[in-house]
Formats: sequence, C-alpha cells, structure tokens
Amino acid sequence: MKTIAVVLVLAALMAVTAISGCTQTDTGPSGELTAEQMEDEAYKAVEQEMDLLEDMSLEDLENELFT
Amino acid sequence: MAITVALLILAVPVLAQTPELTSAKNINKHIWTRGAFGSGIAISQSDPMNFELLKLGIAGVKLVTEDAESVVKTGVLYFGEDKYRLRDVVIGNATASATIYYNDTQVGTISLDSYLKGDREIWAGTLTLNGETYNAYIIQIPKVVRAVEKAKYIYQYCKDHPVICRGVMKAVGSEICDPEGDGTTCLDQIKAYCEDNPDEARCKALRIAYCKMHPEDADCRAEMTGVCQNDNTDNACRVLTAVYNKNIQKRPTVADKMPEWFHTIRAKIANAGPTTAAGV
Repeated sequence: MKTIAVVLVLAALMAVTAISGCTQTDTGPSGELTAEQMEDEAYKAVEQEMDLLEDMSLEDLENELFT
Repeated sequence: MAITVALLILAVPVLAQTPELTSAKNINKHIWTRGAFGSGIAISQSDPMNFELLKLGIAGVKLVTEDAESVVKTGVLYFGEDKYRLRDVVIGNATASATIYYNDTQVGTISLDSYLKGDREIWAGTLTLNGETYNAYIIQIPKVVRAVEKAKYIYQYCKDHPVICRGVMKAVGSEICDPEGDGTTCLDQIKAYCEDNPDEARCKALRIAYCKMHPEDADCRAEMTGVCQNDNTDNACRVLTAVYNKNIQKRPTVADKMPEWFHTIRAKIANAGPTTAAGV
C-alpha cells in the first residue's frame, strides 16, 4: 500500500512539472500563442502573399494594371 | 497493480501536453486588412539619380486558433535585393506607416499616403533608411479577391450587425435568411450563397456595406472605387471621397489627377456645408 502511495505522489509531481514546463516553453500560460509567435506567423503570411505577387507573370500584371 | 497505476498516471502529462502543442500549431491565418501592397521606386531627396526599386507588403493578418482570434499588423519591405521587416505598423484610412528593422535593429521608417490616379491607387510618401531619406512611390497591385474571401467579409459584417445586414439584403431584394433570428445557421447560409453568387445584388450590397465601414482596407477601397466609376450617387463614394480628401488636403496639387467622380462628390460635400460633410 505504501508503495502505491509513493508512486502516486511521485507521478503526480512529475505530471505537474511536465505540464507547466510544456505550456511555458511552447505557448502562453493557457496554450495561446505568445505575442512574438503571433507576429512571426503574421509576417510569414505577408511573405507568402508577396511571393504570390512575385509569381504573377508580366502578362498577368499588365492585365491587372491596364484592363 | 502498483506498476499499472504508475503507468496510467505517467501517461497523464503526455496526454495533457498533446492538445497544447497541437493548438499552438493549428493556426488559420489569412490577410484580413490590406494596406500598401505593390512595387515601386525610391528616389533620394538629396540626389535624384540615387534611386532603388521597392517591393512592399503591409497588412493586418487575422490569426485564428481554437481558442481565440486576433489581427496582427506587420509588413515586408524589399529595397533592391535587401529584405527588411516592418514593425509598429499603422494602417489608417488610405495611409500606412511603419518602422523598418534589419535583424532586430531599427534602420528606418516609412510613411505613405494613397491617392487615386484614374482608377489606380498610388502610394506616395517618405522612406528613411540607413540615414538616407527618399521619396517613395508604390503602385498598389489590386488583389483579385476570390469569392470565398469576399464572402468572409460578408459573414463578419452580418455577424457583427445582424439587423442592418437583414436591412441591406431587403433593400436590394428579399433576404437570403434572417441573420438575427436564425443565427449561425443563417450566417453560414449567406456565406455559402455569396461564395456561389458573388455578383448577386444582395451579396454585392453586403460587401459594399462592409467596405463602407472599413475604408482602411485597400481591397475595400478598390471595390468602392469600382462602384463609384459607374454610379457616383452610392453612399460608398462619399465615404471614399472623405478618405482621399484628407490626403489631398496635405498635397493639394495631387487633386488635379483624381477621377471625375471624386471631384463631383467633393463639390457636393463642400456645397452641403460642414454639418453634412462631417457626417460622411
């Protein structure tokens, strides 16, 4: 019985440590993105949008601008 | 027995971690408010023959996770081949400004106002980079906004203003459904209908209604400009005129090249007096 109790206490402590470590490292306190992560994600979205513009052929661009 | 219990409990933190990590990765993101977006040129104020090509993207990006959604403003600037990150981005009504960073070091600022040349939107302003000040000009590249994206604006508008949304639909025909009474079901129905029928009168009217409330979005200004070229009596033209008029007051000479409908509405607002003009 004592063995089970010790194992339970140890496991509970490990669980608390693991959960708190995870949330603090990878996300904000409640799992949401940090401000820095959000800014990075937004920046990537704008980069992708600019790549799309880059991929437009000159003909597409002419059609966009002059029709 | 003890081993089984221990294994079960040890599994708890692993199970608990999984949703946290997953929610951090499951991010739906898309351009929500478009500021200056296009290509152009920067010309040194001290030496007109010192010029460089520019590519600029400034936008508010909507980030949606399982728990929350928010709009983050950011931007990218290419000065020749050099790439810079924009922070402290402000997207106003036909204005945009930001600080310029290279590897987390601030190296400059950019501040632009937009003007209409015919039906084209042109951004003009000042760029300061590494101690040199330039006049910067960007030709806005109009985004071909897909029906799906347009419908998202409508969804948001009807979600935020269900009663007015219903009124707008009724003004140009019958309502697709009642967004106030039927709630989310109706919102989804309107979204699906407008994705399939983007040019239908009710969908167009809802889009313009949204855009009148969001003239800071370049896509919305382009949509309203399209309306005003055909019908300058639409209230959207008064909204648009008020927006561009602020920039024109800073640089009056640019007014000469503004489109005809702009001058017509501008004169009407001026003749109506300050009370009506302020109510635009």
